[in-house]
Amino acid sequence: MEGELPSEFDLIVIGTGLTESIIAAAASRIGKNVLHADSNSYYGGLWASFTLDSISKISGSTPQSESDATKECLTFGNNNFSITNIKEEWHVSEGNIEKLNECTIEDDPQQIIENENWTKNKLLALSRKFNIDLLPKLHFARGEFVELLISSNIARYSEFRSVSRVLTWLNNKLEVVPCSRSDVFSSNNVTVVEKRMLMKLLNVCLDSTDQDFAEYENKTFHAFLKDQKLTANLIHYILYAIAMGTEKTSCRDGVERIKRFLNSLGRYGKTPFLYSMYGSGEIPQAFCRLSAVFGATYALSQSLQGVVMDDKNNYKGIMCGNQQINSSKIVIGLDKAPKAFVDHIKPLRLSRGIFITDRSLLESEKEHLSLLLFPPMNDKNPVTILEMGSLTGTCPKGLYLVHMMTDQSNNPYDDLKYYVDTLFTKSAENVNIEGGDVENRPQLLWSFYFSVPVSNDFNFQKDLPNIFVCSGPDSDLDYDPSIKIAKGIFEKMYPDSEFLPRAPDPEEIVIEGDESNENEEILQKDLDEKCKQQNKQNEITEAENNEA
Amino acid sequence: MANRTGTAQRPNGQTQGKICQFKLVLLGESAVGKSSLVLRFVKGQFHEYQESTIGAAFLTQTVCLDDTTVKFEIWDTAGQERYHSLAPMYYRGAQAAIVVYDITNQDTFGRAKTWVKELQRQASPNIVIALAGNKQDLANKRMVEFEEAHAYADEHGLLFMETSAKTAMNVNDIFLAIAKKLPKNEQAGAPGGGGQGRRLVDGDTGPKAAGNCCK
Repeated sequence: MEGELPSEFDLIVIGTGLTESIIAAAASRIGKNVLHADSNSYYGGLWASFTLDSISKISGSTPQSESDATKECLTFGNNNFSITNIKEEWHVSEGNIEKLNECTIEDDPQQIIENENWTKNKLLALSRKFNIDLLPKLHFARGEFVELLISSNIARYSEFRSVSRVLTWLNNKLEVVPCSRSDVFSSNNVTVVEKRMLMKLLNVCLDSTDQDFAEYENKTFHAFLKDQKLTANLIHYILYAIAMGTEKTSCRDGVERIKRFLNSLGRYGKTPFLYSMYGSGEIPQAFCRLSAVFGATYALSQSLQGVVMDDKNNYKGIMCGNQQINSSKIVIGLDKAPKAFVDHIKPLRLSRGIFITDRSLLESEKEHLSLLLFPPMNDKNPVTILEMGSLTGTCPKGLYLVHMMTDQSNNPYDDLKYYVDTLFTKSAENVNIEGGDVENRPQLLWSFYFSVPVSNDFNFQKDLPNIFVCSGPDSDLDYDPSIKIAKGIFEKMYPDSEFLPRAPDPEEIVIEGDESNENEEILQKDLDEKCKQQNKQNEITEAENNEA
Repeated sequence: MANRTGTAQRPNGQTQGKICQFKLVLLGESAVGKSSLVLRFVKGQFHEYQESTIGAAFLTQTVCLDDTTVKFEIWDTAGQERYHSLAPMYYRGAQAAIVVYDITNQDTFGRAKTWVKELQRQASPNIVIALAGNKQDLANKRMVEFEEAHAYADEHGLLFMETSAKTAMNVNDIFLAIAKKLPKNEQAGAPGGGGQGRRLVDGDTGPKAAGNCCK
């Protein structure tokens, strides 16, 4: 490592997951001297995105320090919050490795697409074109996260894509859910009468107050929808796709979800959702960038040993390699927290499946970024599915990346098997056997299953002065819970400070203005002069060319 | 970031031609003078003991070429390179990069080559890369030969200049050379290239949500 880190900070943040990164950014923003360190060589922890060849090497557990007996500290890391049940499958042949370096592929991507015979080596040669999220997130266009990005000016660092369609599984096939007004009217899946019913119902939900649904206080949203005499199709669209619920969702929750969905419509794109380009792993990095811009020290790949307490058992600092670094406060990501801090928490788990396929689930003229809400089937939990193509910057042209997530009931493979079998085919040879729709199903090229810990429980703070353990990922579609937790911890640490006020625009920045503007003017003149010369030269060359 | 093209209006209403906006990132070892080059180019200033620029997400500067106004959005590393912790997100969607080394320090040249390799693997395929051998004013302590760097740049298709943020030598020139080489059409950010996503801005609120769906 290049030199030692400074040995004194206001705040040390351990782990570069989203919640930790938001807190680091907020603290730097108000002038605190922050060290943000991670034992990983990459940003994002359980929120990171990976290339194809690197994702199979992940293991969520923080390597335990071997020397904890010699150091007087509480060792970082615990086994509760690690990734488990990893299972990788290739559904294509190994392929020929010769001539498959990345350059030839980049030179002629068309050739690769036309030659649809994908092999493992061909995909691995494109490894760096993949940005595979451990836990992909969507953002409601008017949700808390998007508002925070804009109000803090962090939005400058990232680019987004709109989710271009919401899909559902209805009558044994995929259907596009009409969600905007124009969708509803142009949809062939709903009759004119249904269109009116749908618009009316959505309006009722949007304009409602809690009292309006008093009689449904202890009833389900499904019961409410049935009472509205809606058709089965409409109930399906509203319950499973727009409210993203199940038959058990309460009426109050259902209405709230409808509002959340509708309120975010019409701001960007045709659906209420945005996705960050190059993967969800970009988001923690954007907060870290803001933090660095406001002076935080960033150090990845650190040999983080543990938390040092003083003789009165108060927080003192950390051991990093052989160096002790002290700070008045520390924030630790859940996955990095010493066992003693988190042994009372039992995480929930999400079953995750990630797939590379050769075509879209529902092919169309243009490339879509699709959200498919698969209703619960055969007593399984509902599954959220995201399908993304090359326009998102997460996979190469000609391929699709499909993410599945559902609450874990057994193990990821079994939890998702039904859905995988329904949507995909595993080998090209099977195509003609069953006939009918099967032919159009995307072929699976690669599958990757794992189980990821989620902490939906907000109340896990133990009473440890100056030590703040923050949550890992949760199962919310957006980042709302993480923002809430980050803000909560920030306000506990610095009660009188503003949380992520707007960062200045470049035009507003004044740099050590002791020199007069004179210099600036001279330079600007020089620049203008040079531009002019350049232009003149261009004209001359052009004239010469013309003459020639 | 997409190459945002627009038409500028002069105060007298006359059309000035295209405006192209490009993201340019600076890369290189700590203390080679990345921030100094930017400050020299953007503000015309030089400080011998430059502190890192607190609070600047990026700085902007505009140059005019023919009928085109090229607006650079110049990103500095914010010190994240110091402990080898520069986030990949930093150079996403960049259309141009200046990789800086210090001509008095051979190690920084080696590190610059690593950055060039990283950019060629990770950044947009058509990114314009310039190599800047900075601190030319200290040529008497030179450890990296001009010819060596020049040959390397030629071999890898990079623009190359030796610069001095202190004397301003070649500072404007290197940015101008980049501006010249950048594609100034709307296809510059074509799919496969870096970024053509949506930037979220305050004013970008569109019609009120309810109106869109339910009226």
